[in-house]
Amino acid sequence: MKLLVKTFIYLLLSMVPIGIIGSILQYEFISNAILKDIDEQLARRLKFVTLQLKKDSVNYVPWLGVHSDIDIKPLGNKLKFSPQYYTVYKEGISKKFVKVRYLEACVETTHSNYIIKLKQVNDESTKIIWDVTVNVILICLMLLVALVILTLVISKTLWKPFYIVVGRLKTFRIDQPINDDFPKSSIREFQVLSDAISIMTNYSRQQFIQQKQFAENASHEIQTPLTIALSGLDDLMQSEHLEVKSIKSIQRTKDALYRLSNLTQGLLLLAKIDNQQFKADGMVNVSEIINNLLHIYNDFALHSQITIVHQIKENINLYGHPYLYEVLFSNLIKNAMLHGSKGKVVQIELSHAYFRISNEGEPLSFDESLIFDRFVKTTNRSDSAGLGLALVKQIGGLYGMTVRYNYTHKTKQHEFNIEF
Amino acid sequence: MSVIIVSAKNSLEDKLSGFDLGSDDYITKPFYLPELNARIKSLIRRRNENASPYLNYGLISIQTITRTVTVGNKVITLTQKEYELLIYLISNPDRFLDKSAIARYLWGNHLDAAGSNDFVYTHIKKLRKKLTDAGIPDYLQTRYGIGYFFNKKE
Repeated sequence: MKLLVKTFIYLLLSMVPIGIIGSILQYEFISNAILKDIDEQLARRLKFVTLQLKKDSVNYVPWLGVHSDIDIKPLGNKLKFSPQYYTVYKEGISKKFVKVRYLEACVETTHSNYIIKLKQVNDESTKIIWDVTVNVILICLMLLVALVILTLVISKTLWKPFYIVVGRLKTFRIDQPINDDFPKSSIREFQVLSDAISIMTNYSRQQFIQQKQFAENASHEIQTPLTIALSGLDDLMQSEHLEVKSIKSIQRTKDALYRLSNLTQGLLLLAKIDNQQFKADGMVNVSEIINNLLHIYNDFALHSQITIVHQIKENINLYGHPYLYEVLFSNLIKNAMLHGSKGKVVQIELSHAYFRISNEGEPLSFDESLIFDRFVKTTNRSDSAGLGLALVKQIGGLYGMTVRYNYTHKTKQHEFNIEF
Repeated sequence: MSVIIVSAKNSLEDKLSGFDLGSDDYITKPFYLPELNARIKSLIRRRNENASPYLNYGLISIQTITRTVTVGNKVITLTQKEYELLIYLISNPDRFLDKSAIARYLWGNHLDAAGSNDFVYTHIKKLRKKLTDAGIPDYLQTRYGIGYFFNKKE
């Protein structure tokens, strides 16, 4: 729900009680004011009647007649009382109840004492009050409608900078340079937002670049001393005065250094994929990549007496980066070759929808769910870095593919399945 | 002048941009010196137009353009890997070459250290057989069970 709609709903909800209470208060206020006015008029008339009565009481009363709304009676033996106002509802001619206000007071003249009763029809007041109330409500409603329309129109321009900022955030990619500054706004809140997001994105981008550079530099910095160490060992190996024991020791050291190199390269590759440093730049012919890899691994298969049965559909093109696809398929094929039992078959299949590779071998020495984790390896292969399948999973995830592992005990088949 | 870029950056883009910049070869760290040696020699052969395309070592003669290996008048048919192996050995004579280094040179990262020693051994064995069958004395000596020494025994 839009902020605006929500605001209107709350506004309307709060308007209802305010309107009801306001109307009641207004009704009371106006009717009180009118009553006060009528009472004042009655008081004025009383004053006038009293004056006339005092001047000439004998002639004045008959002069008023029966149909006058002034009723004068002699007080007689009754007790005197102070003037009092009261309202009576009377049935009028048209059978409608009419509100009538009375004023009763005692007047003393030189001859006698009288009770004066003055009446004033208060019929108009109810009508006026209703008219005024209805008018006020109508004006309020009109104001509300005007407010809604005005807010709708204004908000469009008012919220524009906000939507621009959000739109820019949507297209923000950490691996791509930030082209323009975030829009300036005359509204303080949006300017604060714009500034904050600008700072945040710039900072993230800087951190990303630093990470990227670190990954590259670390790779470089680690590989250089490794190269020097390896060259030194290689030179040392050339020495003619070494015992077989020493040569073998040097060999083991070299192998360990190579493993270290592979390990850092694997970790850096994982980091680079995490950082999305491999920009997909189009369709990659994976059939070609797999065929090349099969060619490379052919010697190895022959050596291990593994038969590769493959069914590679030509010209399967997938979106992504060629290097990553090479790593992906190479690691899976290498895995099948290394773990496949001697003299057995490795089956490889590529179609439009999936890539499948299976090899026969003993069950895993660890839990199946750990197979794609980093540094997980079979106990008898301490020389492997344990990153190959982690890379497979990572690359598959990067391209939105499902990578699944399955072991069939009956046929001893390890199978990896990638759905594109 | 020839340029070989030696770098730790091993991604395809880095290599391609290296070649774009005009380098003749690109080798990633870490590498074995014999490999660098083999690459430099190959580069010199390619660069030097006056030099004969023939690479001779002892009785072996290699036409590097057509990749034909001959002993006397006899052509020896080698697989691609065997050819590369021979070039590697000839580029690094009188040098102890361990099996891991050879494996790395031939298969790069496609092969882990495990099992590669046996694998190299079978390749060496086949090459050695092809060469001795052609009448070449055995130039390859096994050293300490972990490597080889290539020398023409004069």
